[in-house]
Amino acid sequence: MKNKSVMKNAASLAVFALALTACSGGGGGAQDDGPAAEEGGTLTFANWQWLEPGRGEDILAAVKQYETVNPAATIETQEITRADYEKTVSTQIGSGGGPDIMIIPDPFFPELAASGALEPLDGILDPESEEALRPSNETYQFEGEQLGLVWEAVPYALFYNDTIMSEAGVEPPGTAEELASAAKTIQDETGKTGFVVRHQLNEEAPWWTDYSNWVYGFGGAWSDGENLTINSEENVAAADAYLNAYNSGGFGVGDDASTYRSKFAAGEVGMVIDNSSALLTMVSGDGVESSEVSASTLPFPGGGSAYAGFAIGINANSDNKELAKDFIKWMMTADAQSTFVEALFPSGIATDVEAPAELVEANPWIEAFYEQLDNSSSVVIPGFETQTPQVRTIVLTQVERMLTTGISAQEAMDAAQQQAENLAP
Amino acid sequence: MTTHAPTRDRIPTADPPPRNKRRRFSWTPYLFIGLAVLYLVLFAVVPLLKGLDLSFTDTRLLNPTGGTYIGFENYERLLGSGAFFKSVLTTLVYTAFTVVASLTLGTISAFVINRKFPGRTLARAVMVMPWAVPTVAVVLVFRWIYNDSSGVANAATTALGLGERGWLTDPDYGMFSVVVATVWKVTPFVMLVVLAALQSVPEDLYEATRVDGAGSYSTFKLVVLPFLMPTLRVVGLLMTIWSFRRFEIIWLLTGGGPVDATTTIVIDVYRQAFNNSQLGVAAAIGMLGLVLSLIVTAIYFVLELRANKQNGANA
Repeated sequence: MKNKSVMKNAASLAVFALALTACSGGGGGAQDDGPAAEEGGTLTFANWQWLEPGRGEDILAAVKQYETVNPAATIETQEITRADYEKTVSTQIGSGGGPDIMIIPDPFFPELAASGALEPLDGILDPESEEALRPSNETYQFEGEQLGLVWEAVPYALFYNDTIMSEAGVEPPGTAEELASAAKTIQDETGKTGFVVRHQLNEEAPWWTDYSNWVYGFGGAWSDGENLTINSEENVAAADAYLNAYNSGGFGVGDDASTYRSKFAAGEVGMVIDNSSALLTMVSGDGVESSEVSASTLPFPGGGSAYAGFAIGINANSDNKELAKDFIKWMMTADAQSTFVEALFPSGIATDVEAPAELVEANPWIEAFYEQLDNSSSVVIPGFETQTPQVRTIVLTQVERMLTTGISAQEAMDAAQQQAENLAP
Repeated sequence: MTTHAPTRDRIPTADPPPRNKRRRFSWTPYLFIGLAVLYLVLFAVVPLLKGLDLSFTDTRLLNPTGGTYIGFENYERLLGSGAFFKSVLTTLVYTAFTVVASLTLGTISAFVINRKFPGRTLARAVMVMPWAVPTVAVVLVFRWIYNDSSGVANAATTALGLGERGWLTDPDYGMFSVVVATVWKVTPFVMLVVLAALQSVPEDLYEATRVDGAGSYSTFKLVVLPFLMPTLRVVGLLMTIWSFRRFEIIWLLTGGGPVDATTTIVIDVYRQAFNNSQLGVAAAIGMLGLVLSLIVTAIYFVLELRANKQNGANA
């Protein structure tokens, strides 16, 4: 009798364990589009920007306005740090889950699109909204389907602390050589960091955009659409200029972005090449004020630059696709875009709605960023879209090698070219 | 007259169990063992087999069930490239330095705090703190210490006239910096275990050696060390395995850089899986890493067996 009871318990346990295993197997994705938008529900929205001081709250307030348009809907934020964003979202989607709506950095988009992780957005917008879309939205088409729309395009420029520049007696640099010598002068004259930009592999994804500024700025490119051009003459010149700046004696060696941004905000750094959103955050605290900062286009001969592009897309695993589509439909209306252009200031957004004049006046440095945006390109490698992360690792490892071991720019780029060509297709 | 030597009374022995009495069968022990087996199967064997299976596919992170079998292609690629062997070498170097340094420092610290001195309890608490501090906090502190322009490490070397070093930016110093941070974090564990072993040495043995006129070195060699050796071997094995698979402190400090100077096997697995989304390649690296761990464990057991045999022969 006792044995029977033990057997029964063991059997129950085994059934429970099997059920547990079955549950953890991951779903195969949603089979339908979920309830109609009018029925409402909860939309999970993944974005690292929720964590950005000041700006995150503004963006969330703009997003939350959808709840007034559709009172049956609730937006729930999913906060993931920038450094862990792609990895976390990939893992979630790979296991059959993930957020309903997500912001997608450009280099991440091809991988998501190729694996069928994004819901097509064709035909969901009003005709007026469709017409107002910037041409840059075409970047997010994949095999004839619109899988994302522009969330924001963040331009880059060179910006500097006017007080430090005048203390050091240097003029805003117009060439890469002047940038390196100005950095050294600032360091020597004021004891403060002259110039800094990302330069370490533990910030690989954002460093790729930062470094691409130098390549595009020198008229280079990562590929010609068919072949990789990592060791082209322009790319080698860009790497050489980057190395000279690093070795100038005024470079903030070892400082990661969060460190040098804090230092810039505290008035401890002279010049930085970074994006407009980061600069806005830096001048929004108690330290350096916006009026103490000036900006200019990148001091490189080609005039080009990279932009940090981010799309908004719907997870194909979502159980609330209809509601998510309704959110994006609302977001692309003229009224909502006016709200978003303010919340995402100073970035460019999906339509060409203009930023409020008072914000532009309060941050006069923004003009240089807007000027640079007109001549900027994505950091996804044409023809090698899904391999961009692997090529990125190879190139940046060689750049780091160049910075720290004394090999020349030519040697570094040659090595990167050779390794990248050997990547499995 | 015959005398009989006094004989000790026989000690009564317990009656042997009746041979014909059958032992009653019970499922209970099987249930207890079954639970442990189920746990191991679910959380160790199945993931291991799944990992092995993945290593023969071209599975990608975003579609973990959509990979196709490609035979030994992942292994061929890894074994045909220098990068994998470099990460193996980096792992061995990191492990060797971490284990030797933490065992040495941990043992010395244990001896120090085993002695009686005023404030010993406080000293013990302070020395255990690094083990209790979360790794992320340790990394933040060390990143500040190692900062090229404003870090304490460069301030110290400059004051000593040694100039500045790129602790986290120069490939020649990257491994050193990571090992120092790791040793600082893990040494208290060694110290605690060795301290417990030291306290189990019977006081009579110390007294006996004192009576015999043995000096400190002889006491250590003949009394303390034999007691410590089994503990040190086990701690050594644990530290070795933990060093093989340590991730967070290396990743957060250097991300595997500068220039792959600290890219251990685990860092390589993470990069392949989450940066490059190549789960198949990552699983293959993991499997080769597992083989390496098994070799180390096998070496440990061979040494342990030899030591036991030697002890048996000496006894």
